[in-house]
Amino acid sequence: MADALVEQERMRKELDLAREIQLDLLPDESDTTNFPVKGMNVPALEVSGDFYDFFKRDDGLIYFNLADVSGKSMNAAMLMAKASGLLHHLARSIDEPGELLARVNDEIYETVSHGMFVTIVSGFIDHNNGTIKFSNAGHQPPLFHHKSGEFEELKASALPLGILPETEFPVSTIHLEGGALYIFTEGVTGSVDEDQKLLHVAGLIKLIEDTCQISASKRLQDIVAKIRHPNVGQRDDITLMVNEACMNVMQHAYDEDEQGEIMLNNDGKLHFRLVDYAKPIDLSLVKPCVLDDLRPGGLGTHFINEIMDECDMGHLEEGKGNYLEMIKKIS
Amino acid sequence: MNINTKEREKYTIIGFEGDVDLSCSPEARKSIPGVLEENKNLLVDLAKVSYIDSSGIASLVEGYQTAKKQSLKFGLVGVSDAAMSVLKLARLDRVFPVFDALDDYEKDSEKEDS
Repeated sequence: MADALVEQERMRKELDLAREIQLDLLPDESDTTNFPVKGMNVPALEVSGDFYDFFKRDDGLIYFNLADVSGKSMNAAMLMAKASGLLHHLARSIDEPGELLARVNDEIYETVSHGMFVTIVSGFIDHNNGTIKFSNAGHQPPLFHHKSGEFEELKASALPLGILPETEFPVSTIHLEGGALYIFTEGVTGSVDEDQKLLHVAGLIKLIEDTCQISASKRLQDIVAKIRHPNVGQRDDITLMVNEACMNVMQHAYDEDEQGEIMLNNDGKLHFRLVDYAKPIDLSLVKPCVLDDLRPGGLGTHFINEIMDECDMGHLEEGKGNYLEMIKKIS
Repeated sequence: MNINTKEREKYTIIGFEGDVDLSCSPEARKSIPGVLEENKNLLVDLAKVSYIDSSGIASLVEGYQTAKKQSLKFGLVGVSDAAMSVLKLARLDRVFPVFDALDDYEKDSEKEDS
Protein backbone atom coordinates (compact mmCIF):
# COMPACT_ATOMS: atom_id res chain seq x y z
CA MET A 1 0.00 0.00 0.00
CA ALA A 2 2.78 2.40 1.02
CA ASP A 3 4.75 1.49 -2.10
CA ALA A 4 1.72 2.21 -4.25
CA LEU A 5 1.31 5.63 -2.64
CA VAL A 6 4.99 6.44 -3.15
CA GLU A 7 4.70 5.38 -6.79
CA GLN A 8 1.55 7.46 -7.22
CA GLU A 9 3.30 10.49 -5.76
CA ARG A 10 6.30 9.96 -8.05
CA MET A 11 3.99 9.81 -11.09
CA ARG A 12 2.19 12.95 -9.98
CA LYS A 13 5.49 14.82 -9.65
CA GLU A 14 6.57 13.67 -13.10
CA LEU A 15 3.29 14.81 -14.61
CA ASP A 16 3.64 18.18 -12.86
CA LEU A 17 7.12 18.51 -14.32
CA ALA A 18 5.85 17.54 -17.79
CA ARG A 19 3.11 20.17 -17.51
CA GLU A 20 5.68 22.77 -16.46
CA ILE A 21 7.81 21.98 -19.51
CA GLN A 22 4.71 22.17 -21.70
CA LEU A 23 3.83 25.59 -20.33
CA ASP A 24 7.34 26.76 -21.18
CA LEU A 25 6.68 25.79 -24.81
CA LEU A 26 3.71 28.18 -24.98
CA PRO A 27 4.49 31.83 -25.78
CA ASP A 28 5.48 34.02 -22.84
CA GLU A 29 2.68 36.57 -23.03
CA SER A 30 4.47 39.05 -20.79
CA ASP A 31 6.88 39.58 -23.72
CA THR A 32 4.07 40.15 -26.17
CA THR A 33 1.71 42.59 -24.48
CA ASN A 34 1.50 44.71 -27.63
CA PHE A 35 0.95 41.77 -29.93
CA PRO A 36 -2.23 41.56 -31.99
CA VAL A 37 -2.44 37.89 -30.98
CA LYS A 38 -3.59 36.46 -27.65
CA GLY A 39 -3.97 32.84 -26.61
CA MET A 40 -5.08 30.69 -23.67
CA ASN A 41 -4.76 26.99 -22.86
CA VAL A 42 -6.56 25.02 -20.12
CA PRO A 43 -5.61 21.32 -20.05
CA ALA A 44 -8.24 18.66 -19.24
CA LEU A 45 -5.61 16.49 -17.55
CA GLU A 46 -2.16 17.25 -16.15
CA VAL A 47 -0.65 17.38 -19.61
CA SER A 48 -2.21 18.69 -22.79
CA GLY A 49 -2.30 17.70 -26.44
CA ASP A 50 -3.19 21.25 -27.47
CA PHE A 51 -0.64 23.94 -28.20
CA TYR A 52 -0.37 27.38 -29.68
CA ASP A 53 2.50 29.66 -30.56
CA PHE A 54 3.14 33.10 -31.96
CA PHE A 55 6.23 35.24 -32.39
CA LYS A 56 7.54 38.09 -34.50
CA ARG A 57 10.11 37.20 -37.12
CA ASP A 58 13.10 39.38 -37.96
CA ASP A 59 11.33 40.60 -41.12
CA GLY A 60 8.32 41.79 -39.09
CA LEU A 61 5.91 38.99 -40.06
CA ILE A 62 4.12 37.42 -37.10
CA TYR A 63 3.98 33.64 -37.17
CA PHE A 64 1.11 31.91 -35.31
CA ASN A 65 -0.33 28.45 -34.91
CA LEU A 66 -2.92 26.63 -32.82
CA ALA A 67 -3.05 22.84 -32.86
CA ASP A 68 -4.64 19.79 -31.31
CA VAL A 69 -2.82 16.47 -31.05
CA SER A 70 -5.04 13.35 -31.09
CA GLY A 71 -5.55 11.95 -27.60
CA LYS A 72 -4.89 13.66 -24.28
CA SER A 73 -2.32 11.50 -22.55
CA MET A 74 1.46 11.61 -22.25
CA ASN A 75 2.09 10.43 -25.82
CA ALA A 76 -0.07 13.32 -27.09
CA ALA A 77 1.98 15.69 -24.94
CA MET A 78 5.22 14.33 -26.38
CA LEU A 79 4.02 14.71 -29.98
CA MET A 80 2.88 18.21 -29.03
CA ALA A 81 6.44 19.03 -27.91
CA LYS A 82 7.89 17.70 -31.14
CA ALA A 83 5.40 19.41 -33.46
CA SER A 84 5.59 22.78 -31.70
CA GLY A 85 9.39 22.67 -31.70
CA LEU A 86 9.57 21.87 -35.41
CA LEU A 87 7.10 24.62 -36.30
CA HIS A 88 8.78 27.22 -34.11
CA HIS A 89 12.15 26.48 -35.70
CA LEU A 90 11.08 26.17 -39.34
CA ALA A 91 8.73 29.20 -39.25
CA ARG A 92 11.77 31.45 -38.78
CA SER A 93 13.06 30.62 -42.25
CA ILE A 94 9.94 29.54 -44.20
CA ASP A 95 7.26 32.18 -44.79
CA GLU A 96 4.90 30.15 -46.98
CA PRO A 97 2.26 28.44 -44.78
CA GLY A 98 1.68 25.51 -47.17
CA GLU A 99 5.37 24.71 -47.50
CA LEU A 100 5.87 24.95 -43.74
CA LEU A 101 3.12 22.43 -42.99
CA ALA A 102 4.29 20.11 -45.78
CA ARG A 103 7.75 19.95 -44.21
CA VAL A 104 6.40 19.31 -40.71
CA ASN A 105 3.87 16.77 -42.01
CA ASP A 106 6.55 14.66 -43.67
CA GLU A 107 8.67 14.70 -40.53
CA ILE A 108 5.76 13.71 -38.28
CA TYR A 109 4.50 11.04 -40.69
CA GLU A 110 7.91 9.35 -40.72
CA THR A 111 8.29 9.20 -36.96
CA VAL A 112 4.88 9.03 -35.35
CA SER A 113 3.10 5.78 -34.49
CA HIS A 114 -0.32 4.55 -33.30
CA GLY A 115 -2.11 6.64 -35.92
CA MET A 116 -1.52 9.85 -33.99
CA PHE A 117 -2.05 13.08 -35.88
CA VAL A 118 -2.12 16.83 -35.41
CA THR A 119 -4.89 19.17 -36.57
CA ILE A 120 -3.58 22.70 -36.96
CA VAL A 121 -4.18 26.22 -38.20
CA SER A 122 -0.86 27.85 -38.98
CA GLY A 123 0.03 31.06 -40.76
CA PHE A 124 1.58 34.50 -40.91
CA ILE A 125 0.19 37.95 -40.14
CA ASP A 126 1.51 40.82 -42.23
CA HIS A 127 1.01 43.81 -39.98
CA ASN A 128 1.71 46.28 -42.81
CA ASN A 129 -1.33 45.36 -44.87
CA GLY A 130 -3.47 43.60 -42.25
CA THR A 131 -3.53 40.26 -44.08
CA ILE A 132 -3.32 36.76 -42.70
CA LYS A 133 -2.08 33.87 -44.86
CA PHE A 134 -2.79 30.50 -43.34
CA SER A 135 -3.43 26.81 -43.92
CA ASN A 136 -6.03 24.76 -42.05
CA ALA A 137 -4.95 21.12 -41.79
CA GLY A 138 -7.99 19.18 -40.60
CA HIS A 139 -8.64 21.59 -37.73
CA GLN A 140 -11.98 22.82 -36.43
CA PRO A 141 -12.88 25.84 -38.62
CA PRO A 142 -11.64 29.14 -37.15
CA LEU A 143 -14.19 31.93 -36.93
CA PHE A 144 -13.53 35.19 -38.76
CA HIS A 145 -15.54 37.96 -37.12
CA HIS A 146 -15.85 40.55 -39.88
CA LYS A 147 -16.00 44.23 -39.00
CA SER A 148 -19.61 44.17 -40.26
CA GLY A 149 -20.43 41.78 -37.42
CA GLU A 150 -20.79 38.68 -39.62
CA PHE A 151 -19.05 35.44 -38.72
CA GLU A 152 -17.36 33.26 -41.34
CA GLU A 153 -16.19 29.68 -40.75
CA LEU A 154 -12.84 28.93 -42.41
CA LYS A 155 -13.04 25.23 -43.10
CA ALA A 156 -10.08 22.86 -43.40
CA SER A 157 -8.54 22.59 -46.84
CA ALA A 158 -6.13 19.74 -46.06
CA LEU A 159 -5.70 16.62 -43.94
CA PRO A 160 -4.26 16.74 -40.43
CA LEU A 161 -0.47 16.36 -40.10
CA GLY A 162 0.91 12.82 -39.84
CA ILE A 163 -1.70 10.93 -41.86
CA LEU A 164 -0.33 10.80 -45.41
CA PRO A 165 3.11 11.72 -46.77
CA GLU A 166 3.58 14.42 -49.40
CA THR A 167 0.26 16.07 -48.61
CA GLU A 168 -0.49 19.49 -50.09
CA PHE A 169 -1.65 22.29 -47.82
CA PRO A 170 -3.57 24.98 -49.74
CA VAL A 171 -3.16 28.52 -48.43
CA SER A 172 -5.99 30.99 -47.79
CA THR A 173 -5.65 34.74 -47.34
CA ILE A 174 -7.94 36.96 -45.32
CA HIS A 175 -7.89 40.72 -44.91
CA LEU A 176 -8.61 41.61 -41.30
CA GLU A 177 -9.84 45.17 -42.00
CA GLY A 178 -10.88 45.70 -38.41
CA GLY A 179 -12.17 42.16 -37.94
CA ALA A 180 -10.79 39.46 -35.68
CA LEU A 181 -9.88 35.82 -36.24
CA TYR A 182 -10.71 33.27 -33.52
CA ILE A 183 -8.96 29.89 -33.59
CA PHE A 184 -9.87 27.23 -31.04
CA THR A 185 -9.85 23.53 -30.27
CA GLU A 186 -12.87 21.26 -29.96
CA GLY A 187 -12.52 21.57 -26.18
CA VAL A 188 -14.13 25.02 -26.58
CA THR A 189 -17.15 24.12 -28.69
CA GLY A 190 -17.49 20.77 -26.87
CA SER A 191 -17.80 22.52 -23.49
CA VAL A 192 -21.03 23.13 -21.67
CA ASP A 193 -22.38 26.52 -20.71
CA GLU A 194 -23.80 27.54 -17.35
CA ASP A 195 -27.04 25.68 -18.15
CA GLN A 196 -25.12 22.46 -18.90
CA LYS A 197 -25.87 22.81 -22.61
CA LEU A 198 -23.21 21.99 -25.20
CA LEU A 199 -21.76 25.24 -26.46
CA HIS A 200 -21.32 24.35 -30.14
CA VAL A 201 -20.09 27.03 -32.55
CA ALA A 202 -23.31 29.05 -32.15
CA GLY A 203 -22.66 29.37 -28.41
CA LEU A 204 -19.10 30.56 -28.98
CA ILE A 205 -20.35 33.15 -31.49
CA LYS A 206 -22.76 34.47 -28.86
CA LEU A 207 -19.94 34.72 -26.30
CA ILE A 208 -17.75 36.59 -28.79
CA GLU A 209 -20.58 38.99 -29.62
CA ASP A 210 -21.15 39.64 -25.93
CA THR A 211 -17.48 40.43 -25.28
CA CYS A 212 -16.14 41.91 -28.53
CA GLN A 213 -15.95 45.44 -27.12
CA ILE A 214 -13.39 44.59 -24.44
CA SER A 215 -9.65 44.02 -24.78
CA ALA A 216 -8.51 40.75 -26.36
CA SER A 217 -6.86 39.36 -23.19
CA LYS A 218 -9.87 40.11 -21.02
CA ARG A 219 -12.18 38.75 -23.72
CA LEU A 220 -10.37 35.40 -23.76
CA GLN A 221 -10.49 35.20 -19.97
CA ASP A 222 -14.20 36.03 -19.91
CA ILE A 223 -15.05 33.45 -22.59
CA VAL A 224 -13.02 30.67 -20.98
CA ALA A 225 -14.49 31.50 -17.55
CA LYS A 226 -18.01 31.10 -18.93
CA ILE A 227 -17.43 27.74 -20.58
CA ARG A 228 -15.81 26.01 -17.63
CA HIS A 229 -18.70 25.38 -15.36
CA PRO A 230 -17.39 24.26 -11.95
CA ASN A 231 -19.89 21.40 -11.59
CA VAL A 232 -18.86 19.67 -14.77
CA GLY A 233 -15.61 17.83 -15.43
CA GLN A 234 -13.68 19.22 -18.36
CA ARG A 235 -13.81 16.66 -21.18
CA ASP A 236 -11.13 18.07 -23.45
CA ASP A 237 -8.31 20.59 -23.44
CA ILE A 238 -9.50 24.13 -24.06
CA THR A 239 -7.37 26.41 -26.25
CA LEU A 240 -8.54 29.66 -27.74
CA MET A 241 -6.65 32.32 -29.67
CA VAL A 242 -7.63 35.67 -31.13
CA ASN A 243 -5.80 37.59 -33.87
CA GLU A 244 -6.50 41.26 -34.39
CA ALA A 245 -4.48 43.59 -36.56
CA CYS A 246 -5.72 46.97 -35.34
CA MET A 247 -4.31 48.12 -32.06
CA ASN A 248 -5.11 51.82 -31.97
CA VAL A 249 -7.87 53.95 -30.58
CA MET A 250 -9.88 53.59 -33.80
CA GLN A 251 -10.06 49.82 -33.54
CA HIS A 252 -13.71 49.85 -32.63
CA ALA A 253 -14.65 51.99 -35.63
CA TYR A 254 -15.50 49.05 -37.80
CA ASP A 255 -17.16 50.93 -40.63
CA GLU A 256 -15.57 52.33 -43.75
CA ASP A 257 -17.12 55.72 -43.16
CA GLU A 258 -15.00 56.65 -40.20
CA GLN A 259 -14.22 60.38 -40.16
CA GLY A 260 -11.69 62.55 -38.48
CA GLU A 261 -11.66 66.32 -38.31
CA ILE A 262 -9.02 68.61 -36.91
CA MET A 263 -10.01 72.25 -36.60
CA LEU A 264 -7.85 75.15 -35.50
CA ASN A 265 -10.23 77.79 -34.19
CA ASN A 266 -9.27 81.37 -33.49
CA ASP A 267 -9.61 80.70 -29.81
CA GLY A 268 -6.10 79.15 -29.88
CA LYS A 269 -7.34 75.64 -29.27
CA LEU A 270 -6.93 72.52 -31.41
CA HIS A 271 -10.23 70.69 -31.74
CA PHE A 272 -10.14 67.00 -32.70
CA ARG A 273 -13.36 65.19 -33.50
CA LEU A 274 -13.25 61.49 -34.41
CA VAL A 275 -16.47 59.89 -35.57
CA ASP A 276 -17.25 56.30 -36.45
CA TYR A 277 -20.42 54.57 -37.53
CA ALA A 278 -19.82 51.27 -35.77
CA LYS A 279 -21.95 49.78 -32.99
CA PRO A 280 -22.21 52.13 -30.01
CA ILE A 281 -19.48 51.24 -27.56
CA ASP A 282 -20.10 50.66 -23.86
CA LEU A 283 -18.82 53.94 -22.43
CA SER A 284 -18.39 52.44 -18.97
CA LEU A 285 -15.66 50.19 -20.39
CA VAL A 286 -13.58 53.11 -21.70
CA LYS A 287 -11.45 54.15 -18.80
CA PRO A 288 -7.76 54.72 -18.24
CA CYS A 289 -5.77 51.82 -16.88
CA VAL A 290 -3.80 51.97 -13.66
CA LEU A 291 -0.21 52.54 -14.70
CA ASP A 292 1.08 49.97 -12.22
CA ASP A 293 -0.83 47.36 -14.21
CA LEU A 294 0.31 48.06 -17.75
CA ARG A 295 -1.78 46.43 -20.42
CA PRO A 296 -2.63 47.68 -23.92
CA GLY A 297 -6.32 48.34 -23.20
CA GLY A 298 -6.87 51.63 -21.43
CA LEU A 299 -3.41 53.05 -21.99
CA GLY A 300 -4.61 55.17 -24.94
CA THR A 301 -7.31 56.66 -22.74
CA HIS A 302 -4.70 57.45 -20.12
CA PHE A 303 -2.52 59.29 -22.66
CA ILE A 304 -5.47 61.24 -24.04
CA ASN A 305 -6.37 62.40 -20.54
CA GLU A 306 -2.75 63.38 -19.85
CA ILE A 307 -2.11 65.24 -23.12
CA MET A 308 -5.45 66.86 -23.90
CA ASP A 309 -7.03 69.66 -21.97
CA GLU A 310 -10.58 68.53 -22.59
CA CYS A 311 -11.96 65.21 -23.70
CA ASP A 312 -15.49 64.01 -24.32
CA MET A 313 -16.92 60.91 -25.90
CA GLY A 314 -20.39 59.61 -26.53
CA HIS A 315 -22.87 58.03 -28.90
CA LEU A 316 -24.20 59.59 -32.10
CA GLU A 317 -27.96 59.99 -32.39
CA GLU A 318 -30.08 56.84 -32.66
CA GLY A 319 -27.15 54.57 -31.98
CA LYS A 320 -25.49 55.32 -35.32
CA GLY A 321 -21.95 55.37 -33.99
CA ASN A 322 -19.55 57.06 -31.60
CA TYR A 323 -17.64 60.30 -31.33
CA LEU A 324 -14.51 61.31 -29.50
CA GLU A 325 -13.81 65.03 -29.06
CA MET A 326 -10.51 66.32 -27.75
CA ILE A 327 -9.32 69.88 -27.23
CA LYS A 328 -5.72 71.00 -26.74
CA LYS A 329 -4.83 74.57 -25.87
CA ILE A 330 -1.86 75.70 -27.94
CA SER A 331 -1.48 79.28 -26.79
CA MET B 1 -18.78 1.35 -25.55
CA ASN B 2 -19.17 -2.13 -27.09
CA ILE B 3 -16.98 -3.85 -29.63
CA ASN B 4 -18.16 -6.84 -31.65
CA THR B 5 -16.27 -8.76 -34.28
CA LYS B 6 -17.70 -10.76 -37.18
CA GLU B 7 -15.60 -13.00 -39.35
CA ARG B 8 -16.34 -13.30 -43.07
CA GLU B 9 -14.49 -15.34 -45.66
CA LYS B 10 -12.48 -12.49 -47.14
CA TYR B 11 -12.67 -9.89 -44.40
CA THR B 12 -13.44 -9.16 -40.78
CA ILE B 13 -15.91 -6.57 -39.50
CA ILE B 14 -15.32 -4.77 -36.22
CA GLY B 15 -18.37 -2.92 -34.98
CA PHE B 16 -18.04 -0.06 -32.49
CA GLU B 17 -21.10 1.04 -30.54
CA GLY B 18 -21.69 4.02 -28.26
CA ASP B 19 -19.07 6.56 -27.20
CA VAL B 20 -15.62 5.82 -28.62
CA ASP B 21 -13.62 8.01 -26.27
CA LEU B 22 -10.36 8.17 -24.37
CA SER B 23 -11.36 5.71 -21.65
CA CYS B 24 -12.05 2.86 -24.07
CA SER B 25 -9.83 3.62 -27.04
CA PRO B 26 -6.95 1.38 -25.90
CA GLU B 27 -9.33 -1.54 -26.29
CA ALA B 28 -10.47 -0.29 -29.69
CA ARG B 29 -6.89 0.33 -30.67
CA LYS B 30 -5.91 -3.26 -29.88
CA SER B 31 -8.86 -4.76 -31.78
CA ILE B 32 -7.89 -3.21 -35.12
CA PRO B 33 -4.19 -4.26 -35.23
CA GLY B 34 -5.28 -7.70 -34.00
CA VAL B 35 -7.22 -8.33 -37.22
CA LEU B 36 -4.54 -6.87 -39.47
CA GLU B 37 -1.87 -9.05 -37.85
CA GLU B 38 -3.84 -12.02 -39.12
CA ASN B 39 -3.46 -10.58 -42.62
CA LYS B 40 -7.18 -10.06 -43.07
CA ASN B 41 -9.00 -7.23 -44.79
CA LEU B 42 -10.85 -5.06 -42.27
CA LEU B 43 -14.07 -3.14 -42.23
CA VAL B 44 -14.97 -0.97 -39.25
CA ASP B 45 -18.70 -0.54 -38.69
CA LEU B 46 -19.45 2.89 -37.19
CA ALA B 47 -23.25 2.81 -37.66
CA LYS B 48 -23.96 2.80 -33.92
CA VAL B 49 -21.29 5.26 -32.82
CA SER B 50 -22.78 8.16 -30.88
CA TYR B 51 -19.48 10.00 -30.25
CA ILE B 52 -15.88 9.53 -31.31
CA ASP B 53 -12.94 11.50 -29.97
CA SER B 54 -9.56 12.12 -31.56
CA SER B 55 -7.95 9.05 -29.98
CA GLY B 56 -10.73 6.94 -31.48
CA ILE B 57 -10.02 8.53 -34.86
CA ALA B 58 -6.31 7.85 -34.30
CA SER B 59 -7.03 4.13 -33.94
CA LEU B 60 -8.79 4.25 -37.36
CA VAL B 61 -5.85 6.14 -38.87
CA GLU B 62 -3.46 3.56 -37.46
CA GLY B 63 -5.55 0.78 -39.00
CA TYR B 64 -5.62 2.55 -42.36
CA GLN B 65 -1.85 3.12 -42.34
CA THR B 66 -1.03 -0.45 -41.27
CA ALA B 67 -3.39 -1.98 -43.85
CA LYS B 68 -1.84 0.13 -46.59
CA LYS B 69 1.67 -1.02 -45.67
CA GLN B 70 0.52 -4.65 -45.70
CA SER B 71 -1.52 -4.21 -48.93
CA LEU B 72 -4.71 -5.11 -47.10
CA LYS B 73 -8.09 -3.46 -47.56
CA PHE B 74 -9.37 -1.13 -44.85
CA GLY B 75 -12.71 0.63 -44.95
CA LEU B 76 -15.48 2.17 -42.89
CA VAL B 77 -19.06 1.07 -43.25
CA GLY B 78 -22.39 2.64 -42.24
CA VAL B 79 -20.77 5.69 -40.63
CA SER B 80 -23.21 7.39 -38.21
CA ASP B 81 -23.88 11.12 -38.56
CA ALA B 82 -21.98 11.80 -35.32
CA ALA B 83 -18.87 9.98 -36.55
CA MET B 84 -19.14 11.40 -40.06
CA SER B 85 -19.24 14.99 -38.81
CA VAL B 86 -15.91 14.42 -37.02
CA LEU B 87 -14.39 12.74 -40.09
CA LYS B 88 -15.57 15.55 -42.36
CA LEU B 89 -14.23 18.24 -40.06
CA ALA B 90 -10.74 16.79 -40.44
CA ARG B 91 -11.37 15.95 -44.12
CA LEU B 92 -10.69 12.31 -43.28
CA ASP B 93 -13.85 11.23 -45.15
CA ARG B 94 -11.68 11.67 -48.25
CA VAL B 95 -8.94 9.39 -46.92
CA PHE B 96 -10.83 6.35 -45.65
CA PRO B 97 -12.81 4.30 -48.13
CA VAL B 98 -16.38 4.76 -46.81
CA PHE B 99 -19.22 2.38 -47.73
CA ASP B 100 -22.89 2.91 -46.96
CA ALA B 101 -23.51 -0.81 -46.43
CA LEU B 102 -21.70 -4.14 -46.59
CA ASP B 103 -23.26 -4.83 -50.01
CA ASP B 104 -21.49 -1.78 -51.41
CA TYR B 105 -18.16 -3.01 -50.10
CA GLU B 106 -18.68 -6.48 -51.56
CA LYS B 107 -19.66 -5.10 -54.99
CA ASP B 108 -16.63 -2.83 -54.89
CA SER B 109 -14.34 -5.75 -53.98
CA GLU B 110 -15.78 -7.94 -56.73
CA LYS B 111 -15.04 -5.22 -59.27
CA GLU B 112 -11.45 -4.95 -58.06
CA ASP B 113 -10.96 -8.72 -58.00
CA SER B 114 -12.35 -9.29 -61.49
